[in-house]
Amino acid sequence: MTHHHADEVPSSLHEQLQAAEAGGGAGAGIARQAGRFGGRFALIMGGLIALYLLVVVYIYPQRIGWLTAISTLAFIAGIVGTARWHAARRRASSLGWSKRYSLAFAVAAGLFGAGIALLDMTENREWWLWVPYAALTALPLAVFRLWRGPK
Amino acid sequence: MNAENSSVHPRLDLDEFLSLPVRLSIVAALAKVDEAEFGVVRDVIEASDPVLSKQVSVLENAGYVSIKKGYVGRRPRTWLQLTDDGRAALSRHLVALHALIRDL
Repeated sequence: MTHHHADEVPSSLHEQLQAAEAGGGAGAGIARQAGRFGGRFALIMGGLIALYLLVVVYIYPQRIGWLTAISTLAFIAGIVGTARWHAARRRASSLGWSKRYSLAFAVAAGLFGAGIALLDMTENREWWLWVPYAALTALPLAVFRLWRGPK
Repeated sequence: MNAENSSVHPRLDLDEFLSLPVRLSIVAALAKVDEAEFGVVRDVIEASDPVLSKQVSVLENAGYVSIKKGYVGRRPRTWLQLTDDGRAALSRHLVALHALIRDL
């Protein structure tokens, strides 16, 4: 006499379709959660980059050694800590997440680099220029949360 | 419709590796993500560790799922990802299922 485990019993077409639909629904739920978590991670990274740009604009020119060192170390600790938190808590990645994140990060890094170049070209340190520009630097990683990618 | 297509009965497109509901659930869930951790898949498809482990091994041998093992700190993590072959097989299987059910 043959004994089948419940999960290995041959099934009807309808049962197969139901299993596929249930699995697809469950997968969509995983993808939504992963998308929200990945979005929070990207938003934090964007915020750190924007803050660091403001540090470069307002703190580095003061040439106070300890302040420069602390702010730089805080930025590095923030980036490393956020990356480690993400790696430890991530349980899934939504479709296309890595590509979209890499693209958003590259654009944010490009805007950061352009900001540094702009800093060399102007003496202007007015907040109305640099705070919005810092926000613009974070924007790609912030809107990345809203860009869901393929379903 | 050409002669070649009309001669192929949909049942011939059913995939033997996907005929078990639990495997179909695993593959359908993985189709919605880039990759997912073993425990997450186990929880959402409501299977036990041994059942998921066994069925994932079958799917890996079929070339439908890739398994990546690693560590986060000291914690072992197993990541599951649907391969391109797995995605194509799921698509074929679902089309065949729909066709067969429509013909009932």
